[in-house]
Amino acid sequence: MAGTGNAHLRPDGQALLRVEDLVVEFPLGRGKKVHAVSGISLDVLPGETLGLVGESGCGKSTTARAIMSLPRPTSGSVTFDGLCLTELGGEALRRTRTQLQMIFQDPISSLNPTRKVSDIVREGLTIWGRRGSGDSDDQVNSVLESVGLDPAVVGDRRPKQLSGGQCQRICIARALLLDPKVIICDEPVSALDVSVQAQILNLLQDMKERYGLTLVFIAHDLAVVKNVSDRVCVMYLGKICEVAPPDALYEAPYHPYTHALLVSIPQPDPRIPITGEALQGDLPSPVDPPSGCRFRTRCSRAQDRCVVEEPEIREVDTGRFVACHFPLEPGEVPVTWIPGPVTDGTG
Amino acid sequence: MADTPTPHSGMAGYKAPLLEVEGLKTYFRTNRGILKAVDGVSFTIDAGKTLGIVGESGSGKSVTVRSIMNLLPPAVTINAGGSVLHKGQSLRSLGKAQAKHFWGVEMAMVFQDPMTSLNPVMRIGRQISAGLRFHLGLSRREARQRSLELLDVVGVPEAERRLDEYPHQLSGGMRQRVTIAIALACQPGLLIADEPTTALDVTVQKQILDLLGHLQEEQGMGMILITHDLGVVAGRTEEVAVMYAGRIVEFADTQTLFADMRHPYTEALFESIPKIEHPSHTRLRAISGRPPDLVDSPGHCAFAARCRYAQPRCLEEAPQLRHSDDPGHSFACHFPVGTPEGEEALAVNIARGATSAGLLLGDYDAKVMG
Repeated sequence: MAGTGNAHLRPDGQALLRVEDLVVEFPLGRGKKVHAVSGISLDVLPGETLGLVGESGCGKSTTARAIMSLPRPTSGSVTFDGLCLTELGGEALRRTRTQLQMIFQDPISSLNPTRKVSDIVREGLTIWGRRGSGDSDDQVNSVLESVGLDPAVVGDRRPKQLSGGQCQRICIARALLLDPKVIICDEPVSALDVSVQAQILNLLQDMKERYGLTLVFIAHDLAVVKNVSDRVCVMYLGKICEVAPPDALYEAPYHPYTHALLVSIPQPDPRIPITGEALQGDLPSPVDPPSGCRFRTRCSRAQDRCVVEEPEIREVDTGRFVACHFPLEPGEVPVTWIPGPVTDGTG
Repeated sequence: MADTPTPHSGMAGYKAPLLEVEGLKTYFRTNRGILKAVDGVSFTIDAGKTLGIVGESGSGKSVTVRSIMNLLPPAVTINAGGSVLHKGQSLRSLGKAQAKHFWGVEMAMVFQDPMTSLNPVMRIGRQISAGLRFHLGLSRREARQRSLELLDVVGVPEAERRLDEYPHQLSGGMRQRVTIAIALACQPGLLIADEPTTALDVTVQKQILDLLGHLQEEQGMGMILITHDLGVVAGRTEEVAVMYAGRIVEFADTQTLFADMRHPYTEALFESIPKIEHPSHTRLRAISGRPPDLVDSPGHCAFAARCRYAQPRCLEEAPQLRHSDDPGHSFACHFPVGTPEGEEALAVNIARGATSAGLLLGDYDAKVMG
């Protein structure tokens, strides 16, 4: 899976956000480094929701942060609305970045516990000096109302007096206030109960329609990603495995890793037997990733070619892109999930 | 129960169930008053069977099992009533000497977060062998040998090396395997797993649940599996208890529960989860509002305020858990889903656009007002 290549990118100029060959590495000292993201390309059209899925440690969140230049990527480019964010610096970067906002996983710890809700939401306006007299109160109140909170009730409260779902609504309100074009949601519902999760997912969908937003939605829950996305990108160990429209992807995955993820989802129906072997072993260390295809150490279809040659992303069907030398046929189930006789390459 | 661990195979012909919980009530003293965290919970588990407990956070799932395990802080906990019988013997009357070799031997527990349930400054090997040496009186060498076997059983590769490592050197999935190895060390008859896979990725979750199911089959162990994930419950349990506001609101064998759910809360919980077979962008039916405050709990049905079926009766009288035609299926609702009363109640509510509790229908995103 290593998945280099840009075959899945749409023609230049169409995308609102375009990420090319993004590399993020964290130095560990003694010449070692963590290869968190190794050459990822993505693009998001205006009004589209791009879902990023993968196990923890696959680089989803690092990608999101690198898009925001938090921190700046090691190499690669991030183009937003014709501007290259990776080349901008200082004030210009700060100004452009107001149009990209983020929502984080843990809503309670991402809000300042000592401040009032209305001040937290207003902060963006304050920083940008856009608070014209009473005008800012109106803006804050209307954005709180639009996320389903009553400003008269919650405005003077502090985050710890509110539930997780309400805090996540506040984070959404705060992100919306500066009128962004893109919102990057980093696991926005993973810390919430299922009942609240549905409320927040519906709310994000409503806000997207109402404000004409473009979303990058990161989650490890495949059902959630399928629900919100227009295009899904499956990641593994800092690389892209498969890019496809959600319905087609879930119907017939091409990449063995996508298949492994899909069979691992517990189905809320006791009549469905639990089938398929679980993926064997652990995620390899991103300090010393496997050579060739990064998924080969856990892949039942791995051949010698996977050790030496990194697969490139290619289009196997309309709109279906996969980075694998031996992709699954539609409907095919890998025979067994016990790793094949592949030598443990040096990586 | 004996002081020494009894292998579970000796259960044949034994009449009393493995665990019998009857009318369990656990309250907490808080600044605001008495919080009724668990308010009359009853269930039984037989050897080799798995009971799933589902519900939102705050529904009393964890307090129920911690109460059974005697793990709650005594200073603020009130054991307000009920009995817990293990093979017919009350756990509340367990003497100190008996208790010493009961917990961990007859009953063991696996917690949600493997990082915080392991000691960060103690090597893995010592953490596993501690129980073996204390309860079974094994020598240092025997305990190490047994720990090695246990790590093999739970699928930790390179077990020999892992014994001398610390928890931070292991991945999340490996750590949870270690906590399972510790829990299984003395071959308990009953394993309580409190959200064992919530902190883990789906692929690792599958590995761990497969492992637990496999070990359970092999050792004839009873299991309580607590989760908020209906998917996990569906595939891994024989019976399910759905909890809401400290009570069981529906209890059935798993097949029946999913095929024939009766309680509106179970239905709402089921409908609120995004399903993999649904097309993308399917609108989810969220449960509006929040669970009730358990300090000042309403005298009537606790779910009424969020329920699409709510009628005036639901705001007056708390429904009791009752059996349906199927003796194994019980639920606490005046207007159960899928019955003539329930359908009529829903039709009435839809016709007037709101429930008797004032919940507007047709707007499932009803605002969560402070």
